[in-house]
Amino acid sequence: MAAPESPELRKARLGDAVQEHGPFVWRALRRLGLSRDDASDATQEVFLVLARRLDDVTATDTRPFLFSVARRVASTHRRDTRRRGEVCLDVEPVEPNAREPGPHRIAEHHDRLHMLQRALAALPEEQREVFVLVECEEQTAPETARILGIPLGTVASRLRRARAAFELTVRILHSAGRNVHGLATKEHR
Amino acid sequence: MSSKLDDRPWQPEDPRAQDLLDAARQEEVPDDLHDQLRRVLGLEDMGAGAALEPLPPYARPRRLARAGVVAGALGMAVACTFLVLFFSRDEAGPPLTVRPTEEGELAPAPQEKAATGAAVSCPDRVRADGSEPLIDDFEDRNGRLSLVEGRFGVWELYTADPSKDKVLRPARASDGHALHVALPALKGWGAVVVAILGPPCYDASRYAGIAFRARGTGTLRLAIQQYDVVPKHDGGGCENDCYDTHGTLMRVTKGQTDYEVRWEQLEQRRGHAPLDPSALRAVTFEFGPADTPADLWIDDLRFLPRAP
Repeated sequence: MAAPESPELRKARLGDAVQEHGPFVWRALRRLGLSRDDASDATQEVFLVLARRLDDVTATDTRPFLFSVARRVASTHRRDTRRRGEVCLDVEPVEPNAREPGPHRIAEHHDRLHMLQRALAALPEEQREVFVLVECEEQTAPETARILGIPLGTVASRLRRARAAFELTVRILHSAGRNVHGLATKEHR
Repeated sequence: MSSKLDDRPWQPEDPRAQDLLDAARQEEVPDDLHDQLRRVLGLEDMGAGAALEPLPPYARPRRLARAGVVAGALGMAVACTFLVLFFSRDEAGPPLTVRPTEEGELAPAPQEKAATGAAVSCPDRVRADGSEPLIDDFEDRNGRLSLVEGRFGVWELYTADPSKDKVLRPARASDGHALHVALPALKGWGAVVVAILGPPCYDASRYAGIAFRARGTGTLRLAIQQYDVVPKHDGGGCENDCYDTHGTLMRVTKGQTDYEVRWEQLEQRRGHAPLDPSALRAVTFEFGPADTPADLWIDDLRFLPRAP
């Protein structure tokens, strides 16, 4: 086993990881079904695990490691949310892009994110992970295969199914004439 | 059906699907995300000119086992001594050095601080001013300590089986929420529930001890990790024979009971140095294998105020 790194080096590695992968982890947790607040808490949990396992994780393996931890953390959060009888939908105000101010745009942005979360939640978990990495995080297929530790062909097949399912879900949600914002409100009553 | 991946960006047939993907890509992360992470990880300076130890991982006995492998036979001998002492003390079933708290009662006056240890050298201290004794009542259900007086730890469970390591989340209890520790029969060194108070050292000398409410079945060791018993590679100041924490055994009963422990009642297993409450690192609940299975509820963890 390699000797532990100096505290300074570990600090530098952790700082680099936060800078490089922090937003990726937060967005991945969002797309895996967590609210904005829960995603922030869960991101901290994920990096605390990294801090403990830093000796076991190489720089090139950091992102796959973080995503694998994020998957587990997200799963735990969702399970806890279900146990508490809560509905995991964002209802807190979401700040849109600052370049698009105005209440109408905020409401639009909010609704789109609600719809997105619902459509992603409808995907089987293994498809959703591939879809999130490729389509939301814009990772390449080989990167996605490495992050998930699955063959490239498996990425391809899951992605194809996920794309079809995602589009179908979006169509169904729209054709049902449901206002996602209204749906969320109803479920929270 | 081919599994070959088309390299071209996907263009959904339905523009509404594209619209949602755009929303996903445009969602901005919270402005303070990096700051939060740096704080939780102990990557930011905690005081003027502080040379902060960088890594606040949750110190745990597994680290001791790892160090034992590296140190070879000497480390093994230390580990064996640790286990023998731990179990022999468990089996002895000493009377609890705790008692129910009487309402309105305060801990001893400050002069009793002389009973606690000499100052431990720390690179920096986060100081509690004595105004917020509640460490965690678990009602926020987020598994983190209340963010007051510089405290910020997360409740985590470690066992000899790393696959069972997890962040503990408060569960619904009869009177709100509490930390539920349900352990099967464990082998190895048992389990530990731990929360960092604040790295590198947390100065709780404004308080006289620690208290909590518990019920259930099982025996635990309430223990404080002091800075100088945490290995250097975990951000502490210990080089040899580490994790000799200051603690006391408690047998928890089915009836809900308030327990309180003063600093001077906490003892090391091997050493004899009294606790220095200005150099705390983490609060832990330790469970030896003989103490498992256990099913406990822990609530209202707080520091004991000193008498004015």
